[in-house]
Amino acid sequence: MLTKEDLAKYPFLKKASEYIESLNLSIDDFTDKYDDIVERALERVKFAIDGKLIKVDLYDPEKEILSYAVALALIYGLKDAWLIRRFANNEQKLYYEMLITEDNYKIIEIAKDGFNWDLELIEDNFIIPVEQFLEIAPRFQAREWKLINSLLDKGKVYLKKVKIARLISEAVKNKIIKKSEEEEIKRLKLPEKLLYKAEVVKSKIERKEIKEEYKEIYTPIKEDLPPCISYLIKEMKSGKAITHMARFTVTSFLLNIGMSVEEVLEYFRNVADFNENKTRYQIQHIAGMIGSKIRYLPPKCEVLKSFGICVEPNELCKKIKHPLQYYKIMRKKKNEKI
Amino acid sequence: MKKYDLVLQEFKKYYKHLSEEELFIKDLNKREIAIVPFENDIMIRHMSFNDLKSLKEYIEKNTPLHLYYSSAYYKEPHATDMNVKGWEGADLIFDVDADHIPTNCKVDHDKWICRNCNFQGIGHAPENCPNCGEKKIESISWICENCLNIAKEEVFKLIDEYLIPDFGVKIGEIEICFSGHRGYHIHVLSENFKKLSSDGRREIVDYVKGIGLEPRLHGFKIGSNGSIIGPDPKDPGWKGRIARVFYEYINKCTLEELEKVIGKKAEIIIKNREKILEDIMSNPSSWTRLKKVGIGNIVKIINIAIRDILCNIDERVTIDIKRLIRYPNSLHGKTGLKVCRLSYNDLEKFDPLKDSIVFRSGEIKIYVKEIPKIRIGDYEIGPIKDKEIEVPKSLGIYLLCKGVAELLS
Ligand code: SF4
Ligand SMILES: [Zn+2]
Ligand SMILES: [Zn+2]
Repeated sequence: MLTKEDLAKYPFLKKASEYIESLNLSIDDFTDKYDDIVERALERVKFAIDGKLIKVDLYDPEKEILSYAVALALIYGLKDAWLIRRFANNEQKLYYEMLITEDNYKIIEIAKDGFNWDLELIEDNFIIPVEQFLEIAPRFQAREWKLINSLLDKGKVYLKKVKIARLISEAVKNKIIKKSEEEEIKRLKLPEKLLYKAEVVKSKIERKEIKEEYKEIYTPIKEDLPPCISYLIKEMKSGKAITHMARFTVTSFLLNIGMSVEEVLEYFRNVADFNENKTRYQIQHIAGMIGSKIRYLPPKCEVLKSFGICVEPNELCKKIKHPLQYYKIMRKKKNEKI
Repeated sequence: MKKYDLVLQEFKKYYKHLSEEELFIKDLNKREIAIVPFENDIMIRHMSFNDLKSLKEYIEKNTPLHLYYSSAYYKEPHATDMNVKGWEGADLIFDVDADHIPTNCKVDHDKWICRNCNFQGIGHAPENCPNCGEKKIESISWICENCLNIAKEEVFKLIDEYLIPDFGVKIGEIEICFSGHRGYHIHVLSENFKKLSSDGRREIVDYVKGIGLEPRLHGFKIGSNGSIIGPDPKDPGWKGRIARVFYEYINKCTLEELEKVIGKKAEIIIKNREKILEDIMSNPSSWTRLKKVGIGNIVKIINIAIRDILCNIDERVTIDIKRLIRYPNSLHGKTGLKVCRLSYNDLEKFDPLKDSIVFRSGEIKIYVKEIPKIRIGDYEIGPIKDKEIEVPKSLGIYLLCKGVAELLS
């Protein structure tokens, strides 16, 4: 049985959303009332952006459940893809930490209610139907998560507790991000007051974040990019389809300055013929995760010139032979100034 | 398009006599249907039919050179806009095709040419042109008994070694189709796999092709006393498979072969071969005798030993969740052979070069440009070049469809 305390710990569960629905509240109700819940929701947002794990307050489960829903509304309402991702990442970590210490039978219930997964326990292994495993596992890059490196017998994958915890928590993250792409969520408008409060929290944290966590999630600064790359990014943002060579150039460039596959993927979202799976596959290929297992470098300037990708080369371009070189020089200059 | 007159006529007759039951597919009303008509090579897509009767009527009226249906189920299969179409799932499909298996006999019957530089060769077509490096290879391939036998073995391997034991697929959920040319399609109709994403299907492809396998993740450990702990041949999945292929390989290999894989340490294994094999098969399995050989070398051996048990499938077909695929019991427009639908139990005795023939009576006169030795049914001819001959209708239509012959009189 899932108790109210469980729902407070795992507010992503269907039972939790059913509970919220039964209250028949809308986000507008939180403008003037339920200040404590809004406070808690803002705290959740703040923690998430800070990359800290919130401590669940089991003395007031209702508040926890509701504040989670409000926090999600705030995150979606801010309409900031980076923030949503960040929030989702943090939620993943939070549930992972809680799940690894959870009772086995509880984990089975959580997986069933949250994702309709049919887990069973065999000795100290969980087993999960392979098709359910494959809903999430391909998102992980580590080799131990490949199906071929898992134990598969009669349609069931055997997983240790830590891996089940990882799988479930990743499914939560996935759900949060997927949901943000739904039309209804895209249309969501926060009441002025709430939006303002959320903006305040967001603005406070962002400034701090850039210094601290620049490695993990990082958007390259526009001025650091060579003209060819910024031009292509601009084209992609405006929704134009770009040539194969151009795709390859941008992708390999962004990967080589340290962006992840998922981050690079975001750049392609607006492109006219965007197909998420196909694009992800291509990026993974260029990253050397699949296929030839070679991590590709972007082509040299000379090659880019012959493909017509070199546009408006500037002074610095005259001194370099490779677009990555451009980027390195720019980064170095910046560091010297600081 | 004179050469097609006879073919069209015969195809038309075939479809007229085809029963509705033979056209049965699961959830027809959710599938996209497509044809390539005789008049031109342009595919007509996005058709849908509510029942077998209307489909039968349509193909009787518009004889297809090729007939396809979607592996996917759609909310509105006739819609052209993918968002409106509404993907609801897809069968899990594997394509085993001699085109993707490098068989020895290909040098006798296949040719290829690079459309970029005209460089030519015989046998299994390379992916890139060895002369100019372009990927514009066009192959001229022929149906061959040996190739088809090898393809059949691949189908059995996929089903017996992977789909049933590891994936838990039931025999009744498997439908096999002879493609009407050089291979087979295996359809897994189970509800379980219907919703799988392309990424999920790729993992299944990698699983049966052995891509990304890390033997170390399958139970190899160093014990506290420095001994090696390894998988048991009786273990399920890749874990057991690794132990079994290792066993098989060691059982058969020569010292020279093994030396090529792991160098000097090969001697240790060959000297103690009997005991090592006994240990691996004993209960519980023991790998201790391989301590001096080391896990690194064991892994090297495994990576060589698994080659024979990997499935030669065309991964593109499996990961494509919106694939158009040949309609069961339709005719392949490049051969005139029937896309035979088979159950698992039918497969063993199925002879594609006999059982897929539909035009059984009569002879026709044709002019043949050039063909290697080929067999259709009990009739064998070739190699011949530049000749007028009279042949059984089935063979004649095959050559006409292939575009290597012309109809006379
Ligand atoms: S010179 Fe190189 S870095 Fe500069 S714009 Fe051209 S291609 Fe890009
Ligand atoms: Zn060439
Ligand atoms: Zn052959």
